[in-house]
Amino acid sequence: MEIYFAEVALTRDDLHKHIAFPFVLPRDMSKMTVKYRYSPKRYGGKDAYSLALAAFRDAYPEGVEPEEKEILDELPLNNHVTLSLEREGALVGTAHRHSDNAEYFVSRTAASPGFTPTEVRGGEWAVVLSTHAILDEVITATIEVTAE
Amino acid sequence: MSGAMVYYPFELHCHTIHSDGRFTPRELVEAAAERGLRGIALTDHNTASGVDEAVRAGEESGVVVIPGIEWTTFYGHITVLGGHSDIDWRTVTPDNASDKILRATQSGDIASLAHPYRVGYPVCTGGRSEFPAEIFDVLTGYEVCSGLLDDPTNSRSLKEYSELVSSGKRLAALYGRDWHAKGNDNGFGVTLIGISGVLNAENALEAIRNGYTAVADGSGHIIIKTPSEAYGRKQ
Repeated sequence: MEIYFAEVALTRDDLHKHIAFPFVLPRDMSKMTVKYRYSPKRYGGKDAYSLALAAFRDAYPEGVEPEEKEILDELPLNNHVTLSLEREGALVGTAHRHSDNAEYFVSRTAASPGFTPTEVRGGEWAVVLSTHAILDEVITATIEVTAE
Repeated sequence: MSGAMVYYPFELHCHTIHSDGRFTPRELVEAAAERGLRGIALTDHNTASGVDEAVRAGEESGVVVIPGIEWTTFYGHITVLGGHSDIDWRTVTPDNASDKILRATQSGDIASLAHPYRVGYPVCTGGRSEFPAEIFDVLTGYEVCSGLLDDPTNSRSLKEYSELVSSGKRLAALYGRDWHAKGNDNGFGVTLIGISGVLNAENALEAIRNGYTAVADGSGHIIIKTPSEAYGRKQ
């Protein structure tokens, strides 16, 4: 059964935020599945090299210049959005992965890695997107929640 | 604890498929056993959901597994070991980090700053710590070396650690490989933990609280030892 769907545009103003998408599960169910994806994953901006170089210089000791290969090994830079699930305001789990297209589930007896097995009770739930990196001006994310 | 103190090699910073690692928890424990490690801490990013499997695998293979999590915030990463506290990682910010750490340690956990000078945003969000210096008053440990021992950023961590303990901070010197997958073990280190009595997770945590630690290379040669003076003991 479809429970919730959202398509959202995330901008650089949304960087380093936890953005909640609340929804109501109308009744007790046995399993909830959350799909999410976002695009683009890879940042294609022409300033990618200089952004990475600045990060290296900020971390390296004074007088030590990062080598070009070290910078290139980190390219392309990526947008990075992770997903958490809340029930009645309490954290059910977080999937800290680098995938831009993933599906997770929870049920009373089992759950995807990152999540705690949880009774899928009717009531208030929320998907929360955590914006670890937004390099593009806009990235588009979709969230789809189903239950059975 | 009682009896002669023995220093055991541990890896205190590990990830599995419960976050962005490639190991299952069981595979991680098996890889630790193959490396000759006597213990690990499971520190998946922002979740502890892999701990039960890792503990079971550890009991079967004789590898001590310390339950843990890595608070992977936008502002820095902190490993919290012990499995006693349940602080929501999303609530940890530079403004309240000291309070959150204190709450975790008062619950019985230990907390350590991970890779203080790793290359940060946008290469690795929170990789370089932006937490205020006040956290060093409440942290238990400090990763003086992270990843490959010859990584240039480790020289900054070593320098800062020396300054912190010289100024009276009680911080155990720790190593963190930030182990995500099986691979070549050359160039990485270990944390040596000095334990008197039974080798188990609680005694390992107590040893870290009391500063009985050293960072060593893969052959066991000590790079830096937690100074006894910081804990009121004579060298």
